[in-house]
Amino acid sequence: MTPPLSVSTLTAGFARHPLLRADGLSVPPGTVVVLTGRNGSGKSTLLRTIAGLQEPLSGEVLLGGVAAHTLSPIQRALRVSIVLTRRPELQGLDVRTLVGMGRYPHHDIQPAAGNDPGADDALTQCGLIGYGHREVHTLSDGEMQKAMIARALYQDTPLLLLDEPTAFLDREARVDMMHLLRHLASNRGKAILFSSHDLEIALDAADLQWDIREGEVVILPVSHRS
Amino acid sequence: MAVSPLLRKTMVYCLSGAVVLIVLFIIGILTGPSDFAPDQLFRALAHPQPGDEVVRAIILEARLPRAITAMASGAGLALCGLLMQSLFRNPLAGPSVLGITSGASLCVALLVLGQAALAWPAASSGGPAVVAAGILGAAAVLMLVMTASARLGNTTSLLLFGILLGHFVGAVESVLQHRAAATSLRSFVLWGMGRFTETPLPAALFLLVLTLAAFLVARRMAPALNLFMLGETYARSMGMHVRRFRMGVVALTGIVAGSITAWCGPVAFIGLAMPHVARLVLSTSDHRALAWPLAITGAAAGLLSDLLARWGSVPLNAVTSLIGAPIVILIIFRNGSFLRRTP
Repeated sequence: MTPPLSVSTLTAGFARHPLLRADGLSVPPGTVVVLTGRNGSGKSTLLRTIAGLQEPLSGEVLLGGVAAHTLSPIQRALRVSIVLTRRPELQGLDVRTLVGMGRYPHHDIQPAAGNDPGADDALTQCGLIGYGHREVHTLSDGEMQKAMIARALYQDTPLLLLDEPTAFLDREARVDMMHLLRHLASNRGKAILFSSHDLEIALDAADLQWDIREGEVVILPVSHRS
Repeated sequence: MAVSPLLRKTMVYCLSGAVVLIVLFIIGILTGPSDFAPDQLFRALAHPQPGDEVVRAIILEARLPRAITAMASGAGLALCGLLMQSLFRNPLAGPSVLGITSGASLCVALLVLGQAALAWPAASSGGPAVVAAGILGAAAVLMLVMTASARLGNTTSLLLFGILLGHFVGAVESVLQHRAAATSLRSFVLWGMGRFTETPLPAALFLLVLTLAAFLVARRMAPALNLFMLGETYARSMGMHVRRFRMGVVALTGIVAGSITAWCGPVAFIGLAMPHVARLVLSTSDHRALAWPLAITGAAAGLLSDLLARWGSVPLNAVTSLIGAPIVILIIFRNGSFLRRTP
């Protein structure tokens, strides 16, 4: 079976400033991979390159076995979704509408203010039961991050990327977030790649660790899981 | 299926707005230098008797086009305001921000103020030459902005580009004004004050159809406009073709704002303020819910401003600024976090 993500001989970074090389990496369904590395080592760059938000300098990102650069924006959005570190500042938007935006690549966005059972289901998966009518700007950072994940879940892609999803969260919310990622991988079969500085908590949820060392992505096994 | 609160609110808003709109429209038709009774109006239009020609002429050639223009322009400018605010993710953006009204303004200034200096035959205010100059100017700036948009790629630079262009054009105009003859200066200044009076019926109907079409397009774009609220990165990650989207919004705004400005002058504040009014009343930023209520709000604002300007015998832009500026200030104070948002 083709993994949702595989990477071969990839160089990522900026034209005059290549940051990292990655070779022979893949994320099978149901797997959580934590991406680690020092500040500026290129974690975000790698995630952006995989998400197609940035062109690779050379090499290939395969999404479900298809070269990412041959995909249209919609096709790509059906294969990979991303959650960024910073929460977007939004006024006058309820959580259900936010989550409903995830359907954009599927061309079946609900009409304004309609019921959206799919959005509610995604919220339930993310532990936000009954949050549909809440105004987005009243959410805590942790709740907002989960709402953005629910939106990505509703986008319904085999691969989910998260760029430092726990950066602005307190310890309790970080542990909570890791449980959520584990749940989505184990029970929904998502392939999940997220970057983190918080190794102790992250390794609890992860099956694999990709560490960026001197411009090279190194695969490290995570021992506690068998 | 239960009707959600937002949908109910939107429907109530649209219905009550439509009633206000119709009332304002009728007042606009019936009142003026000579007031008509409704039955007189009806008779003159439906079963004209000898002697009704004057009434017919006043209605068909002055008041009807004026009311239609006010409605169409108000709604059109409000839509441009919404589109600009969404595109730049900046609550203080408006149709004049892209420099489109400035471009129209410059070309009209060149024509009206230049004709005296170059001894061109006098172009009357609101004449076809002025309209053509306005559209030409708007179109030229639109081309410029589209090129800049493709080059600059990010919205903040585009916003700055528009503002600086506006300043540049303003400077050129003040040079022209300084050297202009008194008569041509007067007609340019009148255009610059905004008016819904210089639009013949076919032009008014054109603006109406254009605005309606623009709202239909905008309603179709609503999901994309919503996505863009999350920022460019999220929008792209969800499959949006951001460059194409940006071009589309710029083109739509340019055509609508350019045409309106050509006939009505640079009408202030309606475009900037009305989206805030609609958002505030419906307490949502969801473009799918906002589109049609905004059309009605903008149309009513256009009609009301025109009526107030007429009753007070003051320029249109004085009215729109006197009412629009406090609304915007109020909204800034009520909703300070709007301005603190990071791009």
